[in-house]
Amino acid sequence: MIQIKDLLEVLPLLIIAFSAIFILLLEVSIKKSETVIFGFSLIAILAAIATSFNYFNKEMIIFNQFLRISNASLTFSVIILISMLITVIASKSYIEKENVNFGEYYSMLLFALMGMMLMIFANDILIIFIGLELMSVCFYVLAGFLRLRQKSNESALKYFLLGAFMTGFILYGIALIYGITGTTNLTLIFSDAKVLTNYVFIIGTALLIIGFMFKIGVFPFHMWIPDVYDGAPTVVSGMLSTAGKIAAVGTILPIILAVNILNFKIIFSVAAVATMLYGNVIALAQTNIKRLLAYSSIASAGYIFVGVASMNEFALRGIAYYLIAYTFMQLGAFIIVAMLEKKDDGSRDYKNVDLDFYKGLGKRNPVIATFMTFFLFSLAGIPPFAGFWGKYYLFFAAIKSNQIWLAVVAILLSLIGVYYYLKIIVYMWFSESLEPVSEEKFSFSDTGFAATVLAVIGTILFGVDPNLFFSLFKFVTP
Amino acid sequence: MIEINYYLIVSAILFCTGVIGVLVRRNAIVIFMCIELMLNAINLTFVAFSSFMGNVNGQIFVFIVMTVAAAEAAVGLAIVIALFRNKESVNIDEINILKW
Amino acid sequence: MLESYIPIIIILIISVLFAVVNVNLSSLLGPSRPNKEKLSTYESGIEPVGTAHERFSVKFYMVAVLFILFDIEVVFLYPWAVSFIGLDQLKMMYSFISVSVFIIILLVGYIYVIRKGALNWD
Repeated sequence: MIQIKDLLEVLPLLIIAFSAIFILLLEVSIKKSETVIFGFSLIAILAAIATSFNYFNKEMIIFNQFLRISNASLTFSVIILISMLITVIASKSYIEKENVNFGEYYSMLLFALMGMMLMIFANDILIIFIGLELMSVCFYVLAGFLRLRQKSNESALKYFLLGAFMTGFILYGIALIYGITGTTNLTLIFSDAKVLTNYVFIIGTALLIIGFMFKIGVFPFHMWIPDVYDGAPTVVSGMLSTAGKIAAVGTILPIILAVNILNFKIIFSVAAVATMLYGNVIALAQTNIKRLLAYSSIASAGYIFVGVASMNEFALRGIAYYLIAYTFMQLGAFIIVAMLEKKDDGSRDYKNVDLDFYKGLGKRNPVIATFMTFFLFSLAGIPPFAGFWGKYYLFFAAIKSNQIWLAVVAILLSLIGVYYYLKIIVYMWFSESLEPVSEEKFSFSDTGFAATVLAVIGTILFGVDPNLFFSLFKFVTP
Repeated sequence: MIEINYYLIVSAILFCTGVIGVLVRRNAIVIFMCIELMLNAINLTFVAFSSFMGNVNGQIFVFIVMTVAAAEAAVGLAIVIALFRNKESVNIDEINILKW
Repeated sequence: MLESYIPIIIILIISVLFAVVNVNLSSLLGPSRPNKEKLSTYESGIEPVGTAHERFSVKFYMVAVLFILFDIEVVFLYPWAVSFIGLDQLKMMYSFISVSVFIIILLVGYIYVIRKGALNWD
């Protein structure tokens, strides 16, 4: 039976769940409720972040063994909350600009957030499945939120069909695991060492991991990423590429570590190398900045998988650090693209998302161009920014697990990445503008600007002082 | 008493039928129906395991899967309708603005 | 154990044979004198208009989907109702509160649907 005490232990989750439902009531009971809802969801997320910090260093299994609160899961959930906070702030101006200013948008974001947190705290495959579906269904809706724009519809349909297809595989994997172990509880499943070598169990786990690799966008299952991120509303693409990925990584990581079959290690290494190669090489040829960032997010999934393939105590630190750096830089870059995007004029395509538009941005709009430069330097992994330390800790983990070749290949492939990030920077600062300079209409009252400032602060703060992160999230030095 | 293998084989066959359907059919609605077939095949697996182990977890899982399938159907059909209003087609070969 | 299926197979064969033979016999033996009136589609005596592939109003879809969503929630109430009887006083109260929370969440969805006018027909 669930004690009242248990409810207090998952306060962040309860706050998010309650506010997601309450927003629906607000939406139908107040006229012109969008601003109220925006404020309400901001407060809810801030409250959830604030309460999360109470539970560090208190490892516990609660709710009839359905949920497990640990430092690692709390870290991932706080990173997701931060990502969602920035997304919500940036969304306000964006959905006003695109003429889809509905309260349901925030409700969808919070429901997705609740699903992601459930997934991460789950100690039972049932909860993982519920969280995954809550997240995915909200993501399908969000990807198609610009319902009059054909590109957005198309992206939603592709995401939906492929996502539902992969759900089938995840479920079949769960069914096989359940059939072999007779339970859905993760603690019980992994308590019996004999079952880990059962081949049906291995097939089931492999299907489960494959489904999550799809959600993360690792090499053989990455095909949906550019199409979906290209067609989805730009702020939502940023959210999908950060929060969605972090949730999937945070869920599957404990399972991969618990299974820890050494034969899997080489598979993960190969997948990581293929993902980095694919993402970085195809990104070179892109002319649309949303697609370029999508391929860069595939490459980032590859870097994360370098950490997964290492499977040692350094890997968790590296992955967590890279994810928070990635949240700030990738989301910040997407939000800048969203801010520069042209106002909705009833056309079926997004305007101002070509790379050519970024030529001479430094002269037209120096502040935004400087911020974009920070994010791109960070994505490229150049030292004073957070992205550098993220990659450093990941590659360090690979070296510590005796996979020096993997670290070397990863460094070489991330050098390819530097080329296309620097290309945008060169376009911004050293190319002649194709647009007339006076065309630029940009105001600092755009909430996207506040979100970008937050992201810049994060990128620089965690870049200057990497130990801040580890002390904030109570990581023990291995 | 029928052995569990028969149930598992039937559900595996149903699952594969669904997968093949998703891969070869071209109509978004039919693809979606094939996905539902996959989910129902999995439900059969769950119920078979659950009944043979005398453990109700699997049956609870089936309820959850059914609910999720209904939610996905609602959202999926809404997406298909939104697309059809803009494009007058649900053939996935014609849904091709997004590439490279 | 497969022997127990033999009667079913026999009745299947007989029923299929019966249907196929009868349908073919009647078309073979009966007189066939088609004319225009006979071949036209029967629609309560009215001339058929347009094709069968009509587009329906999206309202049907709204009602159908909302029906599915609220209908499927009942599957969670069945196991609850079945196991409710056997509980002692304290657990009964507890499980009643739990399911009330579930129903309240559904109610919020219902209020949302009503206030959004998703069930209005005009």
